[in-house]
Amino acid sequence: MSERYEPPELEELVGEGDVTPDLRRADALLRTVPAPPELPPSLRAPMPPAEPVRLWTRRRAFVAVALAATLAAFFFGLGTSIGGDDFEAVGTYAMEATTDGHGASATLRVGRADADGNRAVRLESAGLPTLPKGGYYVLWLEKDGEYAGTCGTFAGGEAEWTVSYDLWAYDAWIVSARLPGRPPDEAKEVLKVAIA
Amino acid sequence: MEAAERDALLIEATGRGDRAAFEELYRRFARPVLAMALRQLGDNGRAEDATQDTFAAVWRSARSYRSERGSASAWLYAVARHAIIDRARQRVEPAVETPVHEPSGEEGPDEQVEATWLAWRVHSAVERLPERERVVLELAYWSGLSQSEIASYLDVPLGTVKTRTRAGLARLAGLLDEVRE
Repeated sequence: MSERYEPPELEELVGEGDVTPDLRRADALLRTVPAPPELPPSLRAPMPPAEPVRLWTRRRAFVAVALAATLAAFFFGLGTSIGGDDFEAVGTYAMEATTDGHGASATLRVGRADADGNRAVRLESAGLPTLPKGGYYVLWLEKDGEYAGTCGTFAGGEAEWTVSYDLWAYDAWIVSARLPGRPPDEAKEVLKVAIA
Repeated sequence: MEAAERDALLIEATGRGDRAAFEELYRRFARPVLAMALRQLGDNGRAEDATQDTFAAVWRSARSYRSERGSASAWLYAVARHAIIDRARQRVEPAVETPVHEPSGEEGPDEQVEATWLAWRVHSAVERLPERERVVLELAYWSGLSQSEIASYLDVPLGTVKTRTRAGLARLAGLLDEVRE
């Protein structure tokens, strides 16, 4: 751990006047704890929260259970007939390489929201180059041409996260490559797809 | 209204779906949460993810907060701690950047918990200070700048820096008492 900076004595910091026990206590604590980090650009605003959970009436719950059972039977049959994994997608996006993406591609699947508003997002990428040690890819959402929220980080290949965004309120999914030692605003966009 | 009481009202409003209250909570606690996540997880990428996990959990579970069971700060600390532990248990992704807080190797588990809680209290309290006092204290204690350099940086007289430092420390002492438990 790096050596911590030691500020001047309290009396010098506050100038003339009484040094009360309160001042001394606050001073001592500030000298004890490390500096809090500055928020990186990705955390300067809270991610957009999902709609609040609503309590279900018994009637709505019954209808939902019946519907879920029907859908489960349907998708079981469908899955049995066409094969594939058990990820139940309500939206699928083909991400295409940008000019910095050098021919990479990815399929992004969005799962059904659970009762709390969380939903799984699965990304299967191909052709993304292995980044230098300490580098990583970031999947994020764009709105009005601006960063709007991070979904997760990955090293390439397949990855899955749970998010609580209202995903259809955004304009695009983007994958950026973040290189070690480089600031986030220098991350290059490598994959992108518009959210219809 | 005391800061602790205000935080409790913000959590309760968040539980009713008030996004403005949620955003204010975020502004107050995002840095303390990120600081705790960095300390526990050791890399920036996972710490950022854990910070987002924490506030997603705050949004989802604010309805369950009961002010009579404990302070808002302690509740948020617990939510953050759980989110960070969950993130720590997940598959370890590649290291993302140079670790900011290396484990000291000298603290035992109890000391680590105590140090984490102390840092949370101090960081949360600092975030509640008026901007001009918060900036002066952060520069004085954590930047390595002398007070003359701070005065020059902020373009204010040296006496003003000392006055704001004194006022900030006094206010901080009161805020630290509020978030003690």
